Amino acid sequence: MNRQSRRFMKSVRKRGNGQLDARGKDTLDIMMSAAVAHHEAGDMVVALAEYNDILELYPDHPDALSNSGFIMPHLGDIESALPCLRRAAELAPGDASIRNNLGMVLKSAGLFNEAATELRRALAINPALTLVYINLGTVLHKLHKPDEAAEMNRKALSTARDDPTTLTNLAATFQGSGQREAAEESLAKALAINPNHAEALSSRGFLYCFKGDSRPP
Amino acid sequence: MIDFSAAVAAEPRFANAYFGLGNAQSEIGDSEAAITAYREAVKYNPVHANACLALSKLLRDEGRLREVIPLL
Repeated sequence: MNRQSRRFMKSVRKRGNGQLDARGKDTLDIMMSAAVAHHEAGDMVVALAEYNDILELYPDHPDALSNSGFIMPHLGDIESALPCLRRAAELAPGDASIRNNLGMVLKSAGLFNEAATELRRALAINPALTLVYINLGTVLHKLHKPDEAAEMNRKALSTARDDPTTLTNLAATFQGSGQREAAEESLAKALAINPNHAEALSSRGFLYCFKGDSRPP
Repeated sequence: MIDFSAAVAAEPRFANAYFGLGNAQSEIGDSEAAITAYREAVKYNPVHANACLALSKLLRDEGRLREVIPLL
């Protein structure tokens, strides 16, 4: 935490009423941006410490709760993650991203039915979220509901941007969760847009290798 | 194999595609072509651990131990 943040925390503690003036809001935004930047850069330990700094000031900050809850399982702590994410979802019931994070951590905890419920709630809030369809498809796959999983994959493909790189990444996600047919479909769509897309070609090559067939169809 | 060849034609510095190409060539028994492909993968990504490992194994199997040493 930098000197400005420390001074800000001290002043908030002194006031003790939890209210932020404009300068305080700016400082909080800066603290949140720094934490998110570390989070996105994969520096989970630093990001979690920074989210905790924010939560020390504002225990009910929904994004800090959600993001710290999403990081904790990466650091081996699923137990602490769930209360954080459930609290975040209570505080911001209309936030699809928080529902998605909660769903994914429930999935990591092996609570697949609850995970599916939260991911469906996320989609009820925002039906255009490709990532949530993918995540729900993965959870339904775990629940041995292949038809429903395939339906979610179709929706993921229909909402994905018509961009070969996005579709190739989508294929990698499908492949990672053992859904090879969906991966093939996604790569076919990417290569229909750009037949020379190197990443998509290479990914399709690896897909066939994993299937034990080094020849293309 | 055609996919990997097309990938490296489209992106000639794409290490992972060379790695895939090496795997496919190794699978059909074309060790020399596989070694060349793995070497390309390592050239464009010197920390591509899987390519380094596959190249080392193949060179060892071919009895070319001296060529393995720089890869260690």
